[in-house]
Amino acid sequence: MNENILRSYDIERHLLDEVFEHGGDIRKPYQRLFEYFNKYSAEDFKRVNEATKLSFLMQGITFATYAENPKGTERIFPFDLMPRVITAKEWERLEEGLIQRNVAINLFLKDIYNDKKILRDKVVPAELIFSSANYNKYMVDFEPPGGVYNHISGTDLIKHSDGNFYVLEDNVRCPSGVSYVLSNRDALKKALSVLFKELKVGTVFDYPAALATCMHSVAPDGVDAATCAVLTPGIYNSAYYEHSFLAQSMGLELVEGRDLFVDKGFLYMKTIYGKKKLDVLYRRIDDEFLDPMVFNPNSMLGVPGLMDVYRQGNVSLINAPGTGASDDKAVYSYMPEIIKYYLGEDAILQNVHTYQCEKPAEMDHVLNHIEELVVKPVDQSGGYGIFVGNCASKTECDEMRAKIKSDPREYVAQPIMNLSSHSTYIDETSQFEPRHVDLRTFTLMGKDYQFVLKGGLTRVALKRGSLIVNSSQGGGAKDTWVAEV
Amino acid sequence: MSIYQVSYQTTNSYEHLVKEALFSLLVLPVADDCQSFVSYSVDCNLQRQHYLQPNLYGFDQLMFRVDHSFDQLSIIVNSTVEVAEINPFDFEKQSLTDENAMMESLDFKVTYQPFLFQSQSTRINLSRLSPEMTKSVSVKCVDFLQFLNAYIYKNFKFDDDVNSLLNTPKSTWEKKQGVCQDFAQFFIAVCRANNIPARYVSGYLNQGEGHIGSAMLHAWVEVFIPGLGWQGYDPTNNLLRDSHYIKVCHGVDYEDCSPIKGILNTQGDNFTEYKVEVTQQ
Repeated sequence: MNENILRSYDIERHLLDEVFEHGGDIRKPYQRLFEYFNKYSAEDFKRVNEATKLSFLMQGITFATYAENPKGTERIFPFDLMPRVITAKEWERLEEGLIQRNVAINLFLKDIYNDKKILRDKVVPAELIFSSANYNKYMVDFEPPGGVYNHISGTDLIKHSDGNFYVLEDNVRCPSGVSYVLSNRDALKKALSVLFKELKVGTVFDYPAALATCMHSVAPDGVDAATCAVLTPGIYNSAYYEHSFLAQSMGLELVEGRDLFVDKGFLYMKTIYGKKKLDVLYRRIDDEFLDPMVFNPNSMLGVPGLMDVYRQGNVSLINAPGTGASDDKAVYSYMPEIIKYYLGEDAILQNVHTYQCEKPAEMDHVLNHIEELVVKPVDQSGGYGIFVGNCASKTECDEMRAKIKSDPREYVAQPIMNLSSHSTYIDETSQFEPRHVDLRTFTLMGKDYQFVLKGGLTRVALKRGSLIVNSSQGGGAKDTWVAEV
Repeated sequence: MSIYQVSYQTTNSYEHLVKEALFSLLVLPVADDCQSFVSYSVDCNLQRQHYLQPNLYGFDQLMFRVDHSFDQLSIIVNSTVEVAEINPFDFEKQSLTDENAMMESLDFKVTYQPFLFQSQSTRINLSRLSPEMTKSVSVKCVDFLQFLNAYIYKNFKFDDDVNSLLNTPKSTWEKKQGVCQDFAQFFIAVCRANNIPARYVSGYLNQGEGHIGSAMLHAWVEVFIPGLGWQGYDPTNNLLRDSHYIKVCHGVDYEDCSPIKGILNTQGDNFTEYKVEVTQQ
């Protein structure tokens, strides 16, 4: 590597740097990569990086954030040329762990909506599930086609300073981000094609076909050649690019609620040739907007009457409604017990220790050590509402304490985990700097079908020192290689 | 046995043309242990064929999808139903100890969760009510429910001027007035807060007996009593369900049972009228 780019690379010694050893040597999986990068001058590297980023803009790969920008202006997803590398051996174990965990979540969902054995056996407190805003009464005493609930699971992992991956959270409602994995790969393949072959980097381009297989496998009983579609809330949604990308890459129609209707127990799509029956719907809208007849009557995003058709078994929804009862952060802390209960196995992937504020003793600990903890609302996603103790002022800490006391069920806390950092090319300084990263993985489950996307989306906290990597909070991304290195 | 003819008529007029709509009507008597459903006929001004679609709890909804423009919808649903003689006082004996033990068990709470769940319109904080609204462990369910039924009848005023959809059990308690659905939801709220499973029932009441609330769809409550099963209570009339009651459906609260729902593609106001007639043969 040209010295200019690394002129002041500052290894944060108390953290795990995935690229550099503490002594400053390049870790083995990255050695070939650096050898290759060394051929570029700093000037050339900058140019290639720029050109790669431009290709995103040309392709229209953008998203909108609402936090600081209520108008939802489109931005490109921040990205750099330096991939993250996971060895094939390490990945094998992660893949096993992801399947184990998501299979257990599926069994858990089937149970809490039907026999409720795990609640009767007091492994998970009944009150915890029944008080969840995402426990959906429309799913009670009902099993979706193929017995699958979380067809698509986005499990977020972090690498801790002990070198192990931990599960940070489960996302089994409408996890997003997979389109960035594919387009990041597209961009990087153009720039670094030689290395892909040499290091036998696992492909990610099989995802759309795998998702289509998954969707077909859960078609309603008696349907041979299922008609599938992707339901989007529309162009104003921050993930609209992804919705259209997935529909296009699977060769499916991209529809909005107004394109659909139900009649005589079936779901139909309006086409210029008349109505066409739909069997499997990959919906990218939240549960509460799915059906104005039974959920939010003011929402026009969904399809009136859809839930009745679903309960009749005449359409398959991906993911099933009500899956949010299993991925909230209070349920998360029971995952090791849940895996043991249904599979009789120890969890392969470890949880980050989680304090449940609804337990008085744990709440006391949280209130007394709030400066050392991350506090999260249990039912929010996208990084909204996260409180990081060591970055908060005294007033902010007091406000957080008051919030916890007034609604303990609503909060959990975790030790501030030092997310690993990873060398990231920073435009402003034209050099590599360490940035915190996590990993969103994608697991697909259909009827007798399982698939894990090789690698996933490495999300980068672009503000130095920041731990929040969500794209909605201004995070960036890296291509993730599962490679034989 | 009693045979009833039930007629449900509704007319909805819309300020602007409706371009597309889906209607769902929960107005057909259900077939269950106490009732047999004989026949029904549907007449709709839009000449749309209806279909039956079971709802969440398996009750048949009459559904209409309209895909051409209209500004008025009139529907007449006539049905015939046979109601068996019900002796509401036919209660078995169950010891207080057994009853308490059963209600305290986790199994009971898990099994009956859907009807113990305190939805927005069936939620109440017992500590804000008078102490007799809290069931003591030394009182049997049957006696507590009898008391609650009579209490509402005596102390709450039936007043159909109230915009009932805005009422909560708390506001019903504070105003001490409302219509049958408010009384039913208040009754349910008190039951659930006392760990007694209760569900909202929508149906018809045989008119001509001087019952309150009989010109519309009526609302009452079914309560699960350990050892006895589901029993019907009507706090509006301080009665137990007998053969004058024709059940349509039950659910967690009014939301699950509203007789007509429509999702329309239109703007502006709409005006709804409806009428119920029950005649005994």
